[in-house]
Amino acid sequence: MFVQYLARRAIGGFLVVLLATFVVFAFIRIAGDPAALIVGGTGENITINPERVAQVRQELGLDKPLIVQFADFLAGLVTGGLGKSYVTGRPIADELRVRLPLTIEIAFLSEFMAWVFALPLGLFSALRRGRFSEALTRVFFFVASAVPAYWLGLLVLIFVLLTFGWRPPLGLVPPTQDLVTHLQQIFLPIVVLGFVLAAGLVRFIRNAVLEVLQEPFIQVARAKGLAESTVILRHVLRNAFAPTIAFSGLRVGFLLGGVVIVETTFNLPGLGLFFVDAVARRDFPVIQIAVLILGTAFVVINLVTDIVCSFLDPRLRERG
Amino acid sequence: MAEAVAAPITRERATTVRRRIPWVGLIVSIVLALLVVAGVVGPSLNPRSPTATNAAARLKAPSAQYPFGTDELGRDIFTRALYGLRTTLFIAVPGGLLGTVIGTLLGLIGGYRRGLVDFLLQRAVEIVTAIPSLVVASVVVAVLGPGRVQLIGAVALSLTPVGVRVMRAAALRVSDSLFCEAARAMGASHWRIMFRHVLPNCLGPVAVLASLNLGASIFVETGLSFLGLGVQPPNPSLGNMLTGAASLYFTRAPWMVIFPGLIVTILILCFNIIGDMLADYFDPRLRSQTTT
Repeated sequence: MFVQYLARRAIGGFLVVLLATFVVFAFIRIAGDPAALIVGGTGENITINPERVAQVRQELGLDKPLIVQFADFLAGLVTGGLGKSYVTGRPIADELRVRLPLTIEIAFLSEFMAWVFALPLGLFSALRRGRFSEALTRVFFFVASAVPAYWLGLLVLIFVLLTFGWRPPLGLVPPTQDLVTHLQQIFLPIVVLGFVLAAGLVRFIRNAVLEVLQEPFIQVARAKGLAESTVILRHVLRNAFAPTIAFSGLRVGFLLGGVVIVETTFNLPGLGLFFVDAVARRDFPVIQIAVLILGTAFVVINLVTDIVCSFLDPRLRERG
Repeated sequence: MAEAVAAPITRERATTVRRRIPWVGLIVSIVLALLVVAGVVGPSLNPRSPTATNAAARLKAPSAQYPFGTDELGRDIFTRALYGLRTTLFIAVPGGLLGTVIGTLLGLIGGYRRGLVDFLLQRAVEIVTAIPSLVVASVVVAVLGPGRVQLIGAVALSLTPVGVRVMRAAALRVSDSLFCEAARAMGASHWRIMFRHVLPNCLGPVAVLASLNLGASIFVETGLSFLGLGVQPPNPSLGNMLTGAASLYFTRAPWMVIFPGLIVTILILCFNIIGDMLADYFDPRLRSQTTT
């Protein structure tokens, strides 16, 4: 039952990603003319040489029917040839080999930092109800959800430099080469993004814990004499985890958007910076691949959160 | 401990909330009104130019003459922030409202008609949701260019899915109610039921949505500008003042960073708090269960 449900979700998610990619693919070719944009940019008074445009169009296969182009694109994905950047001419696959691990690392660690901020605060404010804890969570929620990550990042960089005279070493070093330097470079970005992500999480954890505390089985657990810490750890947290993880899964788009911002702010050469550069230079093959990867990440992570939740809360497996 | 937890949430909290709201609400509304007025009429009242450079006044700290200091080209940051605020408001507000209206209408149709229309709408929403909103907006800008109209469209598109989801849920609930059935029984047309019966009863969620969407649209617009994809220099926008060549001077002149970002934060904060209070106003019960 549950496996069937997951399979259905997986297929649905796959179709969504495919469609999203196609929409972007078609939008680029129908709403604009990539060849003209590549040759002439967007300036209004730039004269575009029509012969050159026709030549670029042919080189890039833009003269073929849309469906054929999309089929070629998909065939390329399957065979691992992701195409080349229009701007640099480098194979996109080579770029991704370096950039993707960094982006996955930043996303994962930022989400982890968000939990580090949010879990104690959310738990505290749910367990010690009162004006102070309520005000604390409230202020944290509003401030952290209003502060743009790029601004916070710049402020932190400036503050650290002016107070401690320290700035993250320039030029990203891979962790395999020098782990300490790598961590120094990556620490501020993940703290900043984690802080911003923690906003919604604190609220959610607090409410999830409050909800579980009202359940009869908590009363039973207390009535049978379990220590309060056991009640919280074994019963409350475990039951509050499932909805919170599902919530994080749904917010993964927010996380990925944040990664794009943070990579730009701290100049980390990951997928996000790749995408931003590609948009600025209208490097459409790169844009397509980036959208495909981000969409796939969204679908896969939500599938994984589904599975994790079903382990934490077996009742969820029934719904298949 | 146990009693404190088991105590009913609503009664005691509702009173504290009710006592607190007028002040917070008043302050937030005044701040927001001031910012909007500053953005709309401020640039015309201020004789200085946002793009005039002055080599003699480079990187000056905030003073009476330059309230927010000057940047690396000697441009007055206060003036630039005013113009930037105007740019941000003139893109984010129409974009946020447009996204809310489109999302609401689509959600209304989906939630009311159900069936195939709803199914297709839901899939369309899933497609846009699968991609981060900032990325959706970036793709639109990449293809259509960073003009004002394009930016408004990009912001609106990135916010539409939220509206569809919120409105659809509300419309599903309301269209099941007896008065809709009664209207149907009396032979009212679908349009009439949708706009005279369902929509007015969903105004609470829509008001909350509009406010939160305005905060989100400011987030998207300034984010795009920060990434260099929105409003193009030398025209100032609150986002693009924090990027580009200027960033080399940020550690020497922190005021170049502090003020534009602070304005963005306050704007988003205001819209979020108002959205939260609207949610409280329209459904205090819901609020005590689901929010801080």
